[in-house]
Amino acid sequence: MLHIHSLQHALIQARDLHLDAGQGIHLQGPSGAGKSLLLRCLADLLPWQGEMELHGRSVWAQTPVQWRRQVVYCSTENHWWLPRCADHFLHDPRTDMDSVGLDPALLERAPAQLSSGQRQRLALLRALDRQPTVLCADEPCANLDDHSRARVEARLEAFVQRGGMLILTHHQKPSLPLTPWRIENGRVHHA
Amino acid sequence: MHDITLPVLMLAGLLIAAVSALLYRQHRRSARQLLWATLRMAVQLTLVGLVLQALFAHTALWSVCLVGLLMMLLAGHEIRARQRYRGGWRGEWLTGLLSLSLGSMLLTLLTLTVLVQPEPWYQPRYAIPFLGMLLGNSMTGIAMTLNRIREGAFQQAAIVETRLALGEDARSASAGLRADGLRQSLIGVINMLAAAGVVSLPGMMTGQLLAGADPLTAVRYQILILLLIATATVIGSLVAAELACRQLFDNRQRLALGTFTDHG
Repeated sequence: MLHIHSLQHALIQARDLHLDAGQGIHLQGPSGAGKSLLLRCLADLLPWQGEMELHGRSVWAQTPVQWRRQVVYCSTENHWWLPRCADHFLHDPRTDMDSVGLDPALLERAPAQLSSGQRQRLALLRALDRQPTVLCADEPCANLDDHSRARVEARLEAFVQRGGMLILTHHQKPSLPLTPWRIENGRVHHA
Repeated sequence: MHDITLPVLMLAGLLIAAVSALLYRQHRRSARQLLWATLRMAVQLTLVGLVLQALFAHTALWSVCLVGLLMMLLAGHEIRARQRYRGGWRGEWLTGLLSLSLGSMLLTLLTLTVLVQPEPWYQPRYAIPFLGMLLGNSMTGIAMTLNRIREGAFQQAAIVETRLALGEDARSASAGLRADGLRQSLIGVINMLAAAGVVSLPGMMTGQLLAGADPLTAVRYQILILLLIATATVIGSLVAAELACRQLFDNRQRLALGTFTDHG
């Protein structure tokens, strides 16, 4: 279980929020409310104060790398730095490619040769490849057509059904069953 | 050695004045800067000459150390001044001085005590030129390494953060920046080694030849100094790259570029 006892950042605050294994959250709020900020704080990528625990272990009792290997942040904008797409994965992702409607042959290509929608779906697979306990997915369906969006949502649902914890920002109402959290005036609370 | 008289120097100065006059029509500011830099160079070198004259006349360890320290501080200042992105002054000085001292200072000591062994080992006629040549060259390498790493960090911040988000540690996430900074610094060193004697006669060797030294003796000194310069620059750049990459992150290995100010 992920327990946010308190999370204080200059622009957002969260207090006493829980996320159980196999549970997904739909983080809602208007543009600029701080949704991405919260996700990056949860992954300890931005300075924040307070206390969070994952399976009873405090974030501060773990190295940042240990924490980020469990709480993985997948950004809206995806970035690549190695020559081939496949080079960015720790495990062979070929069997997983079809789940989001991607041809495994794309893995041999340079990231720049893929369309933005293909890169976006591949970035989600790259985050899942790290086998996270908590996946903080920031608009993983932005700019995708209806068919691709449905595949991505199904893949996220499969992650949750296998016991993963998902915190998702999504500009449309997602089709998968998620508990709503809302950010209003910098405060995060159950909707 | 054929002495250069003051009228000869003034004649050479007239040449700079003449090209400045030509330049003045094209770009006034550059012409003024050229004249000002020429004046600075003449005054600085004259002062250095006077200081060296005094040092050579009274060989003392403390005076050599004092001049060496002053040279280090000035080199540290130059490194900081050449940075587009600068952190807090304490960290900047520490980075510059540590990189310089581990490269240039240690190698100068090694050269004096083991390789050349003048009597006494701190003989200023050897100590000051060796330190000067090592500092001058490694200073450039260190400044380029720091600058490239920081500029790269600002340009590739999103990539570095993606790598951190995927569970890499700060060292691994900044490996590309470090390699890029070192490559930039080593281009100069490799060019210097590859071009020595072919494209250009290095300054020290030219000086010795003009002073009437045997060419092979001058060559041996030049090879020694080039090897030392290359080693000092590589050591200094490696230390600078390590320190620069650490400064990019906070104690939780988060990218902390907010601590730098842009002087571009």
